[in-house]
Amino acid sequence: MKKFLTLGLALLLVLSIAACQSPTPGGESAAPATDKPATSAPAEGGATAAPEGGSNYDTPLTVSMNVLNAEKNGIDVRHEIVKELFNLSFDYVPIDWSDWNTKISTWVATDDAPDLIWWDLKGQQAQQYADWARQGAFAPLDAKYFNESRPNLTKTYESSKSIDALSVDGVLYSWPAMRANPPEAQSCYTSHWSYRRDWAKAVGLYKEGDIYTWDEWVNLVREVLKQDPGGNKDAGAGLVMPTWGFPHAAALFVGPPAAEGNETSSYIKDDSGKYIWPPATEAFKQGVKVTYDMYQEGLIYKDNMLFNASEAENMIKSGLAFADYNVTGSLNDWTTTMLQDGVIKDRSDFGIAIVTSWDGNWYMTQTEDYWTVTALSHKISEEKIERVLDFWEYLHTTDGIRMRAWGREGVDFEVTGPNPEDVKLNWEFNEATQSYVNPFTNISEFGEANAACGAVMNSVLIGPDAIPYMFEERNRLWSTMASGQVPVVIKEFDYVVSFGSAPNKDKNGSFGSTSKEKLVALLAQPGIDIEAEWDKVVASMMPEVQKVLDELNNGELK
Amino acid sequence: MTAQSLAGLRRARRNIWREIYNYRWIYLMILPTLVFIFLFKYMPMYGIQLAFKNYKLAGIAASPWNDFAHFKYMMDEPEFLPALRNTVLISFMRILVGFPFPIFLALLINECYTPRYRRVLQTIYTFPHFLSWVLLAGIMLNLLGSTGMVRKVAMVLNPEAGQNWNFLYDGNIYRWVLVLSDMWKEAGWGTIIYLAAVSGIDQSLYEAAVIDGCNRWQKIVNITLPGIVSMISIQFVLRVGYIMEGGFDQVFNTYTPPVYEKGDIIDTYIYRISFVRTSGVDLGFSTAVGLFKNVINFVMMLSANLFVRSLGQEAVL
Amino acid sequence: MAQTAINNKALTDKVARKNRIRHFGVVDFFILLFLSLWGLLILYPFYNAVLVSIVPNTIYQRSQGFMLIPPAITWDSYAFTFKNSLIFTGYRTTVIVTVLGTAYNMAMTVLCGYALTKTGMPGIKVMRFALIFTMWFSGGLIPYYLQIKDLHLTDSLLVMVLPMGVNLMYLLIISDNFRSIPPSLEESAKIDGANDWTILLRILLPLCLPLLATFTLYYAVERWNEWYHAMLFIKTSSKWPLQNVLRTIINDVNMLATMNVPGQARPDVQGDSIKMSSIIVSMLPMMCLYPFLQRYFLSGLTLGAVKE
Repeated sequence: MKKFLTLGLALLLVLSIAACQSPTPGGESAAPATDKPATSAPAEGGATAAPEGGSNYDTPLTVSMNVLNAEKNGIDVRHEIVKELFNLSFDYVPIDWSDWNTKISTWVATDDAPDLIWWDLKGQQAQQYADWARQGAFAPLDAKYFNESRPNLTKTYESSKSIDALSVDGVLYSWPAMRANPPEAQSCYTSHWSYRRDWAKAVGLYKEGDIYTWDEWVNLVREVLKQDPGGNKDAGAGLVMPTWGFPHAAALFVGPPAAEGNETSSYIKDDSGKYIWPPATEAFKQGVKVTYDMYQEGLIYKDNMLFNASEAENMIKSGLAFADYNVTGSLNDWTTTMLQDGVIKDRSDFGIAIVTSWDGNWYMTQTEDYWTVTALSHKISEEKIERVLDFWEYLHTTDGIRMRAWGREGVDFEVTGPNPEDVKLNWEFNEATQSYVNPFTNISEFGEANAACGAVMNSVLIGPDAIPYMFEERNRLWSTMASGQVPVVIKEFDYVVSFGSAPNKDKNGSFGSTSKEKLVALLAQPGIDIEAEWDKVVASMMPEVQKVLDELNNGELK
Repeated sequence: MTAQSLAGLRRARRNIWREIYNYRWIYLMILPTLVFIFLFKYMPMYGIQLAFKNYKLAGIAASPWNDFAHFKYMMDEPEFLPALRNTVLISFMRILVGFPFPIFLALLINECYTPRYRRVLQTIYTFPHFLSWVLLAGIMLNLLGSTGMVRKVAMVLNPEAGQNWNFLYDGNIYRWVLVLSDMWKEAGWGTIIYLAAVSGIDQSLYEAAVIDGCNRWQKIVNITLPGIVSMISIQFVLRVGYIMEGGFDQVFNTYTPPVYEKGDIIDTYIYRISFVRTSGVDLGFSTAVGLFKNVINFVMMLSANLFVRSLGQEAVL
Repeated sequence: MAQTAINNKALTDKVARKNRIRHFGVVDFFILLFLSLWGLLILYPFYNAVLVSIVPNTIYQRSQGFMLIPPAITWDSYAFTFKNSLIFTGYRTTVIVTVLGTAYNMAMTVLCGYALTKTGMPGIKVMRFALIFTMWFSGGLIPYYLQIKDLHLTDSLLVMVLPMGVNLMYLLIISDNFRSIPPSLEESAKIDGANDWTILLRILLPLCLPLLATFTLYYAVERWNEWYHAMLFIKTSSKWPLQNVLRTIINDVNMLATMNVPGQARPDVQGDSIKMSSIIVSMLPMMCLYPFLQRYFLSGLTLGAVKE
């Protein structure tokens, strides 16, 4: 009896506290006003803010922003330059990959966000983003900011597909950091099978130009496992995949059906223009069967499904595995490590394979044309917005690109020609590795704001400090795409479906990870009729999926 | 009301004040803790209402009630009930095996012949407590994977059965892998508290027992165990009170889709729903799940408390 | 009187002798065997984990997880870990937070634990329940964040100390232990004119030394490993405790490897060895603390010794 009394008392206590709290709605998280924050006169907006000289930047401004590696940012000469040019400095709030989303949602929910909210925003979070934008969490980026005084930003504003996707009810709330790929890449994602060319040569199945038909590729993996040119015995592996690519990379990414995971998870349109769910297609089922057979045969590394970090990478680097599905961006690093450890003799021993599917086509997957976005807190002042946009515009110019990559002209580098990469570096040169020593702790400074615009070091801009191998490999890929010597089919990125919102779609997304889990669970069971089992999986999921498809096909997507 | 009873009441009241005065130092002693729980635990508790609301940026109080939508969502999911069942089952297995083991280990350490050696051992036993599951998952993969050492040994010992021992793919085996590896990691750390309890036992009791001619077994049963039984019962009640905690870090880092059916727990399941699949859940959802888990935990703790009390032990509550 | 003293002496001698010449029996052998085997079972994977940090990744990978003597050793991962400028500020913050926090935790726990033994005190049952209730029910992240913000604790070192007051489990155990001490001790002290403070400090605490040592260790390890509050509330990386510094180091290595991040530079050191070396870097001080405290919970205590 007494216990219940105490329980009652405790509850009473809780309730009374709740009651005390209620009148002041959420303390300081009082509704971010939907109208514009009261700031200094916005009269000087637009045209007058042109970055013509230092005169407009009399007031020093400090802008807070969340970044990775906060401790490495903002400590070198490049920040001095930005301070001189724009009277602008940054106050960096640290995040890391694992707490990024938690922090952003906590900050937004408690109205404690930095001025610039840097966000790894993908279609998955689009609904939450739109929700917050409608509730006034972000400052709008109106068309007035984009005029002839900021030609580069304006060009993106007018031409990028993601601007529409990032707009909520017609208003833009965040700025995309564009990817740096050239037009012939068609926004395709540069992830591929990277394989041991030396092993392919050792088993005598190497194809000039690294272009393999499906049968040749599977046979190559089989022969490598049989002949074991790496001398790994039972520790060796054929195909390994990073966690995000398992098991789809084996057949589904490179085959005809659209598959969740390769930066794209979505519904696709069939020939009649109706939306369908990829896992329910015949082509996908065939891909599942191919994957299952490869796994059961041992061509795919058995314990790949247990990986949860960099295991696949480790196996490649230590010469245990034949091929890994990965992004081209890592080719330089990996080959460097492998050379150092004596796993390969030359960089060209490890490179990209162009694997065509069993239907003869070479499939490439398109993705968003940006990699991250920056939203502006609703509390940021008009003056700060103008200043930050001026700075971003500068980052697109040749001067800005050079500043970001190499530092101060005349000290760190000398200009030798009109192109951004026409420079002579004054950096220390390491004779042993035959490369320049980058003096900056953070080599991707300001990458948050503008990953691309030509300023990303490992893409279009190939300065004297870069190792060319990776760029050569990537360019080979893109020129193969452009040349038409292999029939290329592009799995298009559908902005409407990815960013659109409808009740059931918001609840369930593309069911991509569920279908992936079910596929992995089937892989582990030997001797099953995989096609029948997959039909069962699809049948069990279809009732829920159908609700989303109906929404999409009835035009309920917002 | 008679004058007499009024006087009695007044006297009683005076006695209360006197009693409070007598305990003045004690009140002062408990005050910091009360301030602490008020500031950091009770003040934010109004947030529990979020379990029944859709969170809006306008604030918790201004968010609209949602007619138990979070709970309905939770229950509608086909994988929720299996995850709930697994959580309870795995927790139960942990209590069955992992709970008594540190006690057993502590008793053995206490009986160990050479003091120096036992100190070294005791220190070694605490090492794994400091390792994270992220790292141990990698080591488990190396040892228990399909080309791992344990598997190889199993194949040599029994080629036919060993072939089928998929420690990390077979749900039934996987559950035991979870329980035993957790026991491996935490048992040594858990013994510390029992050893402390053992060393709190009055040594003269043992001396008396030796004189009475008690053997080692009798000393354990009649002195050591009774000396630590209240510690065991508190630990037991609290452990049961965390039955819904299935060990997120451990499961998350070691499980794979083939064992979801048997090894998926509520926390990992919620993680998948909220972070991997979609954004269809908001901040209220996690509050709702937390509330659901804690109500069950609380009820379980109360029952364990009753159970312990029925055995004649002092209760926690 | 003297007779009893001599008798007592003879008795203790006898006991001591009996203990000393106790035969190393079959049971002892099996106990020793079991403990040693368990020790090996602990030590091998642990040793393996250490190897991860010092053996060059290629060689470790090729060993398939079985290696007794490392064929080559590299300190690259430690160099990489220590190259991070934050590691030293991290150590400093962690030491400050651990010392302050453990003292704060122990003071509150001991005082409150003693208070909870006073079952006759008016209102104590409600207070006890109010305490225990918070073990299971909390308001969730958002109101908690707002509360911390209202108390102006964000970006302050105190946020890693103040919100972690008492661990209710330790509190209950300590309180239970205080209660198990014969009340006669306390009563006789009261007659001698001792007040509650004297009783707690002079009589109860010395009797509970093993448990106090245990919880000091437990609290210290908890404070040492604290990262969640720092992750949420510390917005300046130079104020981070060690754990958060290591977490960024690990996450940088780890996530860049697993996620597909085009256009990002990757660190050139292997993830696993960094992970392990940072764990060793962070756990070593705590492992050193343990043997110091160990004597308190491995040596027996006699009530008589305290009485004198």
